[in-house]
Amino acid sequence: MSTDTTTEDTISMVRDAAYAFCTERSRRIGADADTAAKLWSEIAELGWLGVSINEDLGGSAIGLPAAGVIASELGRAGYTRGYAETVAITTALTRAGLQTQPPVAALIRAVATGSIQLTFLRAFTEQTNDLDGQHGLIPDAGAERLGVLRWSQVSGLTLCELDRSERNHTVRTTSRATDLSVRLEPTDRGQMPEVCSLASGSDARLIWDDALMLYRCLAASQLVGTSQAALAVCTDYAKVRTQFGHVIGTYQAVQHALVDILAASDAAELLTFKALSAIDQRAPDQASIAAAATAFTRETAWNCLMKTYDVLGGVGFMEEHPINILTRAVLPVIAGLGSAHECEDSVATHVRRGHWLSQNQETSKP
Amino acid sequence: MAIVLIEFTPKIEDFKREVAETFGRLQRPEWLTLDLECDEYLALGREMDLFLIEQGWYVQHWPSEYSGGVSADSFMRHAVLRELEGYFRVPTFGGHGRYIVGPALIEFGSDEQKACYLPPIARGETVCCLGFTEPDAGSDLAAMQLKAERHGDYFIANGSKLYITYGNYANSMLLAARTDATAKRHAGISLFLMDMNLKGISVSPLACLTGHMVSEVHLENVHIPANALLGELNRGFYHMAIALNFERSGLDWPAKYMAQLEDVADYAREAGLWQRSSIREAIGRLAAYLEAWRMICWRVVMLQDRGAIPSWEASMAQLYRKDFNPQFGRLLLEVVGPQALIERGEPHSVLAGRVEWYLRESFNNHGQGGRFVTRNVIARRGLDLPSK
Repeated sequence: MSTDTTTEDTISMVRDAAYAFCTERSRRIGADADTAAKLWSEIAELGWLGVSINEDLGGSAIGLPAAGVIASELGRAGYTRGYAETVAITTALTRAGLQTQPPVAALIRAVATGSIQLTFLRAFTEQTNDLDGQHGLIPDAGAERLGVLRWSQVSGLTLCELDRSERNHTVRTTSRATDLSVRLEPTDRGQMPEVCSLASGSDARLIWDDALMLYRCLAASQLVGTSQAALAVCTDYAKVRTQFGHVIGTYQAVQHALVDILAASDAAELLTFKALSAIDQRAPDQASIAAAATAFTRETAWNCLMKTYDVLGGVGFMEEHPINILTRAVLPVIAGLGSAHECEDSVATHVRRGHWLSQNQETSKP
Repeated sequence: MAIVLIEFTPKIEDFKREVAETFGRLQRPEWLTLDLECDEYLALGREMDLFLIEQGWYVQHWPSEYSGGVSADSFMRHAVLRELEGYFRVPTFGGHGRYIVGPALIEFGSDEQKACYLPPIARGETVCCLGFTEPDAGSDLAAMQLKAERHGDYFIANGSKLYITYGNYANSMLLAARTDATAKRHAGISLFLMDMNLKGISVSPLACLTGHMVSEVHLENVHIPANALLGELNRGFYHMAIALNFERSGLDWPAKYMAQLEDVADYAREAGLWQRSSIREAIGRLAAYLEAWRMICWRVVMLQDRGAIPSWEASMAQLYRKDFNPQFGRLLLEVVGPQALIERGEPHSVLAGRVEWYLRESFNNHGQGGRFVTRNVIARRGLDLPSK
């Protein structure tokens, strides 16, 4: 054997721990706000919010592939709120070296302890007046504080912390968890007291892009978990459900649908881990692999979900069926990843002659 | 299942760089523009085989005692080479010998067979073909009818093999024949390493949609020496499954298609089509698919490198190929339009006619079982779904 499996062993252990944690708490996922807050606190206590934070700032520094495993297991349990965004933003800030600034170091410590959740605004597409600020949705995982990362050419990278009144603006959504519908002030309308400036100029944009790339890969990991969970539910069902005199798992159409889910979720898992590993190592091809992982997983997660309904039939449409719970967890993630057009366009920007090779080396084809 | 991370050691990354630089330097326009069956292209294939031998890369996945690789990571080096052969579309001629027949000999062959056959394969002197498929035994190989009956020091073989790649060039065939008509389907089959010059063998080449030649090979009272039996008598079906397992990653395929997709992206840019978001999205979608497929292929390699025998995981790599082809063909028509139909050498052909060939190749989807059969295999072995 010529490959080093040390990292695999480590993340396998993390996965086992995450699986046990999620299984034990599965009934509490999606419950009321108080329970959500407790869950967030427990995730922090396990060190899972601090995967990219050094130990001197309270983190566990176990790396991004491990974060992907945790995100995947949370996704398998139908928990897709706050984790990917918080870890992605924290990682982007530390990758940029901002933790040397005392306010950012304090922020990172707060993330590691679970006292603050970091997120992005999922902006509404309906026409809004720029002067009116930005409207959008924010998933509230229940941490004591909630900060929203923003970027604009004028103001650079800022963190806007929501106050209590803004956290009361809950709105009913498909996710059935606490979602806030908020309006944030225009970023260039002066500095508000609750807004923390993190970076400016070209650095700000680079960190913003890095945070988004990280978020998309971790969100993709969550989708891997939901697809694998959906496959398990459907496969078990197909082995026992009898129709037309036979177990439906013997029908080729059903088998092929399940194989398609397996093929898609397996490849998505390998690709998202590859992307997170590439980002962790700052590999030259990190952006292109991350873009591919996002686009592929976004599309296949949707297809997998639809195929599960084909296999399950009416029972899958019942409110309390596990597939319904997964569906409510998957849809906000897919919506948060941007449109298929954006994801695929992002991949296309990397396709050029020799690029596939030059990701890791300078050689290009003649 | 255990988590598999697709990561490479610095040594393997260095080797990848070395191979890419070498192929980049050697690559010639003729690799991409010549008719695949013309003498000039075949000569290029022979030339590259000899180059790979000279480099010590040709059979580096074999054990060192058979001229194979000497480093601990030879198998990974071989996988890297295979991927880059695909990406640079290197013409080579000795695929079946290097990848299937040689490793099968190493696994099942007698000392005499190894001494006789391995050195010429390693020197690129033996062109091998695989005699498995028959007119009435395609996806269902266990239905094969070609018989080989023992008569003294010989097996006398009668029957036909169909769609035999390299059949018209090969001087040696790995033949699967029914040696016990009374045994159950899988149990009565044996493997032979058959000299293609034996009396009673006739080869009829058939042209494929891609321009490749495959052959129908007829055997009429062919006297195969008994010492050509490879492995155990009547265990051939199982040997065959293992032999085909040696080269199951299919890493060269996504690499080859990535190079082709880059060709199409280049064309779209040069033709001013890149500003169309629908074209960028279609290319982006397939590029993401290729990266995913590539990971599936590397998983097979990683499993093999750890001593595991990939089963449905290898079938999944096949499935990705079969699902890619129709998408790529459609993309070509969407991006290039009517010009995609213009053949090599004609005015207005796109990328020297390569696009027209890519279009025809997108129908090459049947090898080792079609899309349905491949899904059936994964359903049984990967998901443990019932067959009846």
